[in-house]
Order: sequence, then C-alpha cells, then structure tokens
Amino acid sequence: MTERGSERDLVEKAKQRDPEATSELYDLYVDKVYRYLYYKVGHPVEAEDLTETVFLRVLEALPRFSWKNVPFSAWVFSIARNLVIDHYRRRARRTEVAFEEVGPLFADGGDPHEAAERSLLQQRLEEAISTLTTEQKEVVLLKFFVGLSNAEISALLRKSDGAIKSIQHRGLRSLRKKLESET
Amino acid sequence: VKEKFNDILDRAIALIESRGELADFLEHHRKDEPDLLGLLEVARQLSEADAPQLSERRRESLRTELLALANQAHRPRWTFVPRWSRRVSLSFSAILLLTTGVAAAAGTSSPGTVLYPVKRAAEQARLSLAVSSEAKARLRLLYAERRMEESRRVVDHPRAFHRAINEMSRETIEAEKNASVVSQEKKEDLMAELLALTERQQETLRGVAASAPESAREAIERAVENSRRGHDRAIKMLVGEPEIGKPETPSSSHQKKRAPSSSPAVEPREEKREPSRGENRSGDAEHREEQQR
Repeated sequence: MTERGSERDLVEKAKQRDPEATSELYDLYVDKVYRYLYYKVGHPVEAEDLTETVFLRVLEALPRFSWKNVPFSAWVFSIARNLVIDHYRRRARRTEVAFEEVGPLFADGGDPHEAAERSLLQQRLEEAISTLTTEQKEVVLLKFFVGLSNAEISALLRKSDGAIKSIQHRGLRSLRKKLESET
Repeated sequence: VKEKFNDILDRAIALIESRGELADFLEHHRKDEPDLLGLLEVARQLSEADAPQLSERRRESLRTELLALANQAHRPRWTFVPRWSRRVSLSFSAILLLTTGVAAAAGTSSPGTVLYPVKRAAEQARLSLAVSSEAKARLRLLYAERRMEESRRVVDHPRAFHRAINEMSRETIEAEKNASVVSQEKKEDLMAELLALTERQQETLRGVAASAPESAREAIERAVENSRRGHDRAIKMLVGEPEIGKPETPSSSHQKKRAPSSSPAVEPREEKREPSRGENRSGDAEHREEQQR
C-alpha cells in the first residue's frame, strides 16, 4: 500500500471518528503544522495555540472533506493558512507575515563555538529570507521548512506546478545572491 | 530556457531530498552545473535548518483532547446568543460578583482552592467591562502579576503551578497586545510597567525554579523565555529604532514590524542605547527616565 493510499485509509477512518486513525493522522501532521505556524506567527506559545485550533477545526470539518483533486495535506494547510490570516486580521497591527519575526531557526548546539557559528548562519539566513517576496517566502517555507511536495504546495497556493518551480527558482537565486554578497 | 532550468533545479532538489546520486545527474547537465551547485547549496542550508518542535507535553495534551472529541459521537453545537445578550449577562454577573463578599473573599484565593474559580470569573467579568485597550492592558498586567504571585504560592502543586505560569505568560502577552494599539504616550507608560513586570517575573520564576518539581522545569524555562522576550520587546518599544549604521538584529526588525501601522512608530532618538539584560532595575529605570526627558 502506498503512503498516499494509507493516508487515504486513515482519513476515511478518522472521518468515522476512529481514535487510532485520528491519532496517526495527528502524528503525521502535528510537527509540520506547528512548524508552519511557528514561522508564520513567530511566537512559540501562539503557534502552539494555533496548532491546537487547526487540529480541532480539522477534526470538526473532516466529515465534510472529499477527495476532489486536493491532497489532504493541502486541505489541512489551507485551514492553517486561513487561521494565520484571521490571526493577523484580528491583531490588525501587522499587515504582512514576515520572516524577520520568526524565532530561532536553529536549535542551540552543545559547543559554544559551534552555537555561535550556527547563530551567525541563522541570522544570515533569516536576513536573506526577509528580502524575498511574500510568495517566495511562502514557497520556501512550505517546501524546505515544512516539507511539502510541489503538488501539495501547488494545490494549497492554487498555482500551477510550473509556477511553483519558477517561484522556487527565483527564491533560491535571490537567497544565493544575498548570502554571497555578505561573505 | 528558463522554464527548463526550473525543472532541472527542481529535479536536482528532489534528488537530494531522496538521497539519490547527484553526480550522474550533474554529468547530464554540465552546462548548468556551476549554477545548479550554488542553488543546491542554498537549498541544503534551508533543509538542514533545525526545525522548532512542539513540546512533548503540549503534543500529548492536544492528542488527548482530540481523541476525547473524536470519541464524542456528536459535538455539541454552538447555539446562537446575541452579542448584546452576552454583554448584559456578563455585566450582571460582574455586578453580582463585584458587590458580593464572595468575590472579596476569593480575592486572595490560590489555584486549586474552592474560591479560586470565583476570583477568575470576577476578573473575566471586570475585563469584559473594560472598554478601552489601555484599561484592558492595565487589567491584564494586574492579572499577570497575580498569576505570578499565585505561582509562588502553589509551587508544590504541579498542576496548579503549571496553570498559573501559563496564565501569567498569556496575560502578559495579551497586555502587550492591548498596549500596542494605544496612543504613543500611554504606550510608553504601559511598556514601562510591562518592563518592570517582566523583570519581576523572571526573578520570581528563577526563585521558584529551585523548589519546583523536575516536571515543571521545562514550563518554567519557557515562561522565563517568554518573559524575557516581552521584556526585550518592551525595551525596544521604549528605546525606539536602532541607530543608523548599527547592525539590525532579526528581533529588532521584528519589533519594527510589530509597531501598529495606525500609530506613528517610535521616533529614532540619538544617543540612545539598549540596556543590556545584565543591568539592574534601577539602571533600567534611570534609562527610561532619561528617554522620557
């Protein structure tokens, strides 16, 4: 059975409120969703609260989910994405989701020298990412930090596969230029 | 040609992700190799960045909550209650709570005691009656202070302690949110209070950490970190933008973004310096007075 096939089974069982399937689906997505929200809102506590809300909404809306050319992951992340939009709309004080607002990208290392070096790398990476356009940031976040496939990103952002590849290319090129200019 | 390169790059990234053999692939694309290698290096740096993780405790509590919901055959549906009706109801509750001796007696109660829910209900009622963001921010600051004091009293009761410090962090964040949308003058005043509060929080949390159970350490560290961030943001709000020429840190640009678009950002001030975290409170207070002058 393929990975997607098993996910489909899990979703169908979770629709029937099967606890094991619900738990497995949760395990499949919790880290990705948290990571996405963390980078979007830049605050661990707020990201945790939003993660909770995403899964409650997923569970609530699951019986209405149907497989119509949309991967389940794209459906889950569309809920997360809408929540982020609502979150910022409610706060109404930040108009754009910014990568500068993210917390640490790298965990602290044991060795202080290594940690300092990583911290410097983190800073450079964050600064470079902050220069990307909104759609480049979104694609970079979903692809490299969250780990979604092109097809999933394409369904989520409602763009063609070619457009996603093009945004990815431009984003990486822009990052490279920025990173190289600093060295 | 550009389209083609997009595809080549995407295939190369997919190859790296699946840990496939890149050498053969590059052999077929010799012309693009230098360009590809540079972009793949950036992709590698992005992919290898350590990802933030949801704490184990929160992950499991959320799972429990989800499974409990999944076990319910039908979730209770929300019934429509008009907004005005809720307000009237809350106002009555507030008046009742604020005028009875029960609320007064509940005022000093600690988490886990019988009267504690009364105290929290009275607080919520009072908050619901606050109209301005400033009033809400001041109440939130007061409640954050109360939760801090409560955490000190219930350090031997893990569940109550956990709840108290989580609530303390939440109230502090909410106070900051409310404070961010008031006028500049009031904002500075509120931020100065927030600054003092977060310093007391860190001091208190470090004090209770020694006697707190091992299971509470992670929550304490997180609360200290949250408090420290709030403290840093309050300082930046008070100090303003970094000086020209001074390298801007991600967190400072974060602060810049947090400034409400409707109100003017804090004016850059010359000869301002950011107090280091090691500075004592009197040093910070002097610094703030200096800024206000």
